[in-house]
Amino acid sequence: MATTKRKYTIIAQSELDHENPINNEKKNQDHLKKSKEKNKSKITLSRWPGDVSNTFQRYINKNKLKTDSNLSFYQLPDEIILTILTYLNKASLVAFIQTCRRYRAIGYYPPLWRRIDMSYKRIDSEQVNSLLQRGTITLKMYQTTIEDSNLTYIEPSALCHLDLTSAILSPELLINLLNSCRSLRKLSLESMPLNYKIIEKIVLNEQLDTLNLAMCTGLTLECCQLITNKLSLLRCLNIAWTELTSESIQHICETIPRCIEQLNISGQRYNLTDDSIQLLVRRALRLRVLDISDSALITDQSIISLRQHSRLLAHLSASRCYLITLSALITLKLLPAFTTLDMFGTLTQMPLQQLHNEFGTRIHLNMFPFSNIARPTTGIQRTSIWGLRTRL
Amino acid sequence: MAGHKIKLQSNDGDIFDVEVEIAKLSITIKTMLEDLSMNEEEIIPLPNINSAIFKKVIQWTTHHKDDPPLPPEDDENREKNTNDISSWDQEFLKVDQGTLFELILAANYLDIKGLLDVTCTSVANMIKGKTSEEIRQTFNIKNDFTPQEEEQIKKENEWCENK
Repeated sequence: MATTKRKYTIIAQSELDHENPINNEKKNQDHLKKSKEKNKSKITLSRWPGDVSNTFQRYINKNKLKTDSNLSFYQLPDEIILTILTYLNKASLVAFIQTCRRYRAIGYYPPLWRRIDMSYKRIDSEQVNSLLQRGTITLKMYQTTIEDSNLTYIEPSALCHLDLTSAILSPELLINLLNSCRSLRKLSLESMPLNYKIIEKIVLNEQLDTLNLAMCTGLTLECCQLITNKLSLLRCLNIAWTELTSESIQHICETIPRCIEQLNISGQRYNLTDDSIQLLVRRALRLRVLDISDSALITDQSIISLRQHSRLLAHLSASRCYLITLSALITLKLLPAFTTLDMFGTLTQMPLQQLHNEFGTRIHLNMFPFSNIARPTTGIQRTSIWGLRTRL
Repeated sequence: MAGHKIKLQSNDGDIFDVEVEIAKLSITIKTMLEDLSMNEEEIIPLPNINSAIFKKVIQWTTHHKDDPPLPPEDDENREKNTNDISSWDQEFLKVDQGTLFELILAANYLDIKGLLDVTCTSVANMIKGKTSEEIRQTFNIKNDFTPQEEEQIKKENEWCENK
């Protein structure tokens, strides 16, 4: 029995494998017939040695002998081509779809274009339009320069997550781009000049839950009214360093969507007051993360308001709020969910140590010098926005 | 149950005795055995696969029979790494294009995810880093674009070329 087995193994290795499977089908069959007649036992292929050295030998030989199957790439069905394309990066995918019409048609299959990273690129509006028509959902355009072209209308897109942080494009084009979006969930326009018309387009996306407008200019009271009025599902909002008037800030604190969980309203210097915080905490009962850093007028009164109303507060940043005292900060440990306090730039070594002792291990001190609220890219995650990957 | 076998027949008539555990790496065969409750004495026909390719498939599945199951496909978080073909697989895949494509079709038909994965990766590696013209030459693809179309598609996509 043992010899029989070896014999078939040898047949399989030395002949059948190396020959054209199509032309030699017959020969193949003859072999098998013969063997069946002789031994009435079957080929026991499953007992081939799995050991690597053998295989090596076999396929090195095989390579030299060049078996040829007649199947060509063009005969592979679309679904297989599509499977192969999911293994390509964008540059290779783009080279592939430029080979012929059929592969262009296959290559424009929307799931292949869901996540795109265009950071630092220079493109024009026509190219953006062409991309969006392929079904992009998550688009990162950090510091992307978008030039105007003849195209004045961008067709409706499926975009859900759009990061235009520090992007360079004309206000008209931005309006155009935002006008193509109705299903945005997350949007970042950090560091861009804004106006009322732009905000009008933003609020057409009623599903928006995350909005980052940090360091934007041009946010008037009317803009703020639109935002709090229309975006009733907003959970994360960053309006840090936006040069808002005290009136705008008061309005936001008074009318912010009740479901807000994370708010960065830092950098408002003399315009954020204890009164505004009072209004905010009474309305925003779900607030978990709050950044009020660099507010010169905020006192212990705000800490008391937070302690009284913000039962869910977990993370407070109040760096460089010089009027807040140590004794008020210590009382934050009474908040049941509180875990993190950032107080950079205010406390010297001694009170810092004291706070450490009071907080124990539950509450961390000075963990995050920069805010993460609503911002797409934070820390070391460079290839994702809001935790969603942007590269294949 | 080691050593327990079933009979599988390729489209050129050969009958193969294959260990059940190995054959079941093919979801197609597994389904036939379990859902259709086929008699284990019955010969299962595989009308889409010839003997030469089927042998290669068995060779692959035999080598990989103890692999841990692949993580479930999660499209939202798919990160496909095309550099991690094991050296055994690399040797295994040193075949001509036609055979490689036959293996892909067989893996697809038999629903053997690991084999489909590694063969498609292998083809993807043949595409990677090439220009459109080089890809055409590699796979004998005929360029049927008009010059205008070619220019249009080139322009639409030039932003992601120099990456």
